[in-house]
Amino acid sequence: MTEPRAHKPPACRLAALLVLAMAGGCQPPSHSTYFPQDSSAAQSISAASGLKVYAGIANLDIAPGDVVLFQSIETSTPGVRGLVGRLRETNAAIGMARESDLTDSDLAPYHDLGGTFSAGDGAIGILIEFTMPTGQVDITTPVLVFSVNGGPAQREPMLMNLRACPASIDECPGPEPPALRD
Amino acid sequence: MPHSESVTRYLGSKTDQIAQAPKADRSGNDVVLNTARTYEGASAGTVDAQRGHISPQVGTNCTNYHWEDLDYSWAYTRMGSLNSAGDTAQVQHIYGTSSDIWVDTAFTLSDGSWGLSAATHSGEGIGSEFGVSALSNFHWGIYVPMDYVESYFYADCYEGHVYQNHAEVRQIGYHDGRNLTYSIVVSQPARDKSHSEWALQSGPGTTYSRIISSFKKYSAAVVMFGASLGSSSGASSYSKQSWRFGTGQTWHYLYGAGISYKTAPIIYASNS
Repeated sequence: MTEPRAHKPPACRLAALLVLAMAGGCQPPSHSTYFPQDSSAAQSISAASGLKVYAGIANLDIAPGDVVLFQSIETSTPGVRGLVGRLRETNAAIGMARESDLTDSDLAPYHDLGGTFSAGDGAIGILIEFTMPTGQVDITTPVLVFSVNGGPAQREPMLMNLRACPASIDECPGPEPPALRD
Repeated sequence: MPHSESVTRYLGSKTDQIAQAPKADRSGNDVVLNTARTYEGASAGTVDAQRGHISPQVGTNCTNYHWEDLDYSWAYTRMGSLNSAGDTAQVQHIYGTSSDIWVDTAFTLSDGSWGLSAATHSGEGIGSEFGVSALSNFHWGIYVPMDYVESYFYADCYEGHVYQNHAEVRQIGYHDGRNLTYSIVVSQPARDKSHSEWALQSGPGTTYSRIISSFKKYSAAVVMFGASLGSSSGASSYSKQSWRFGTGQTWHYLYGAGISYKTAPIIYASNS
């Protein structure tokens, strides 16, 4: 594995510390741009109350030389668990599925967030797991929190909207995908 | 505004043409010319009698080089493909409020010989969505109706209103009143199971939609006003494709060929 690159704070942040802290004329970016997101997506699923539901929210490539620590997933829905795995150890990235649709081998490559990954691990899949309540669940652009080469935590809203409905899928229209970034 | 145009037109190499063209960006070849005007009497489906004196490139003391829009028509233009596998309840390709399309512009320097120059861009202003809906095992090319105009390049010369032997055909926006259609069965490559990262697997009773800004540019032809735009057609972007999968106990795979389903210009579908 190559030596991790040193984390370089944005020049904009330095300028803000020195000159513009009060003026607000140079703001750091509101979100990370480490992982390019050239597309956006939306998914929905029909699931009965009490069932575990799995949803893939990201399929990521790590830049050569970098080491990425995946820390957490932030959503407005309580009880969401984040999982990470090497997609080459899977059959395919999981889109959306109930626990009853999956076998142990489908989930075996995934582990709780917290591990570090590099380009040598290949594409990385990020899953979330939640238990279906009695009503509809909408999860909008879940935020992936991670750090690169030991740097500060970065927060990246993933361009993915999710919906889970207790009704049949015919009565559960998928949400709109988030708008693409300029 | 249903059409945003950024046209770079071919003008040739005549010194006086270049000198009079506003906003020239490359001497002697492509220039941006914003003085196009509609020729009086031009209307869709008509051929104006003024074309009778377009053959010789003559003229002295010419001024006011300009394009005149002489004829209008519309044609379906390839903008995508749509694929579904078994146990699919609905699949849609949406061309709507955030979709757009690029179509090459054809030009000729003399009667009968057409080439391609630049492209025009349309779509942001369309106020409603248009879609094609289909069910299982659907593998078709998708077409969008586009308006086209045929323009001729004139100058006001000592001899009169003189054609300068340059003509062009370009698209000018979405053709209202027609929906998307599909034509031509398209084939798809088998999923490469050695690259699991290129595929997405969704369970029964799920939906998946994707918006992408780098849709495939197709090389299908559009024939307009006698101009066969050989390698033309469009590259649409910001189009949305959606799948609603059935409830059968099968996996639904969407995959790219040699690239992740996230960024693939075409998403293919299978159940294995």
